[in-house]
Amino acid sequence: MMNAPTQSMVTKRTLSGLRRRLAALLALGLLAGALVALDAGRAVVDGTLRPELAETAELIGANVAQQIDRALTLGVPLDGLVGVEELFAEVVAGNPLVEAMTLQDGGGRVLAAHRSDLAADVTATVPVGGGRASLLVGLRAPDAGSGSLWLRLALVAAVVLLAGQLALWWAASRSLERPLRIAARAAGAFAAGDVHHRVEAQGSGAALHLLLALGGLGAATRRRAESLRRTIAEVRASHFDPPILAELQGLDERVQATLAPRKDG
Amino acid sequence: MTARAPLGAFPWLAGIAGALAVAAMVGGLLAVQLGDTAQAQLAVRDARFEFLVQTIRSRIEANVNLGLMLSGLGATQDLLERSRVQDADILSIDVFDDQGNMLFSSDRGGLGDRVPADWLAGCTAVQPAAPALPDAGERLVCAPLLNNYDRVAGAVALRYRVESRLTDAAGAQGPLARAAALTAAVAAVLVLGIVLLLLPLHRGLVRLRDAVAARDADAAQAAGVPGLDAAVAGGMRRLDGMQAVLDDAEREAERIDDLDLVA
Repeated sequence: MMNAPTQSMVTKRTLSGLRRRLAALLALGLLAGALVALDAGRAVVDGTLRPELAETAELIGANVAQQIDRALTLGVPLDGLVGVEELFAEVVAGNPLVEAMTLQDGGGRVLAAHRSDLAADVTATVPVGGGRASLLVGLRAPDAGSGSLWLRLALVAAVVLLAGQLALWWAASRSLERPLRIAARAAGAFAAGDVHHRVEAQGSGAALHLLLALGGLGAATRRRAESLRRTIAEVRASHFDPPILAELQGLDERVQATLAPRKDG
Repeated sequence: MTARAPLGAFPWLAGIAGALAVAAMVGGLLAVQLGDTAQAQLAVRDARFEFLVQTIRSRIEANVNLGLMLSGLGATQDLLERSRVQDADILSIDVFDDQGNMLFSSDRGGLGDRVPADWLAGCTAVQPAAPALPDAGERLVCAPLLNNYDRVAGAVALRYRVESRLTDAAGAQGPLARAAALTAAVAAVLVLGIVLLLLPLHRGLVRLRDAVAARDADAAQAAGVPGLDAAVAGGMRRLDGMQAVLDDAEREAERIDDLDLVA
């Protein structure tokens, strides 16, 4: 009879590469899932955080513009405004979201600016002085939780990958590896002449069908041998001649020996 | 002829496992992203109204510093009403004195009322700490009003709505629906990929099954299931050998049975 390591080797060879390819496919699927999640996350930020930032930039801009308008209504010319940069600096200092502020006239000439490079996520433009000038307010999105974001992403990815691989291993073991191991064991038993080996029908699909076919093959040989032994017994019962009886005895022993499992299998 | 055989449970079990893993991955990552976005959105909203309160505060204090009484600042009512309409999420803006008497309010119906004690205590502190409101969907931001001598003359308090944009169809529902559809597509591709990966093994097992059914050891040997095909072919050859022995024995038994008749 085939020993256990040989059956494992047969199964391992049969499934060789398949597990690795399945694991790689799952990893690719998870990578695609991560990209979908990141894309959706970015879209959610664009759809929720950016409008909030835009409203905030407009509100801040409108209130600062009102202060400048008050000076303009007193007759101060646009070129003659003083303290605007100090006002901007005060607003920026009091609000960490404000990245930059710029006052420019209708021709695009910068009249006052605080961090005029405008490295902002969202910018709002508010009219000043009845449209004679415009105030640009740039806001930077807060980095809420981003410090630990990648750590959390990595943790989620690792947990899901591990769970997925475990589930895959469980499914492969239950539906493929066990039936194939039974088939290998049956093949080994038949090769050793053990037609009495019972093939347990397990699994599903083609593996199950193979086990059923193997079981049928062994059972057919077993039934044929049993039938032949019954025939020999019947023939023996109808004969009284000692040489014939001895010959039948020898034939029966030969059939029995054929069916007995070999020890050297 | 090759008979059909079902694909079996494994591709579907593996596919479901893979699809669940992908869905869990997408769900987990999106939950993290949504949590951070919601937090950031509220932080932006807080900052917006904090700015507005500080703007109102500085305008009122500019008048108080001229020596005017807080209760006598008639322009404050107009300032509050104009500020109130700047943002639809503002529920009310109130100015009250150091005794908690409501002096000005964007909601004129509340004028003369006393503000809750925790508003007075929290908002008139030099380091203000706006109290939590009973309605979880509302927040309060406030600042004390100081006179020339840095004494608290009162406070300005702004109550606003904290409704999240994550429930907004255009903001988050659309991207989430798209993500769900893409996740389903990835899961479907994963299942298809698993089935395609398993097809060669499936076909090999079907050929092996057919070879066993046809008692063809050579066909079994060439079934294309590495390892198992050779093992099964070996077993079949042994059974074939036994069949040959049984055939011989059967013929022998018939011959012996006929000996008597011949004699």
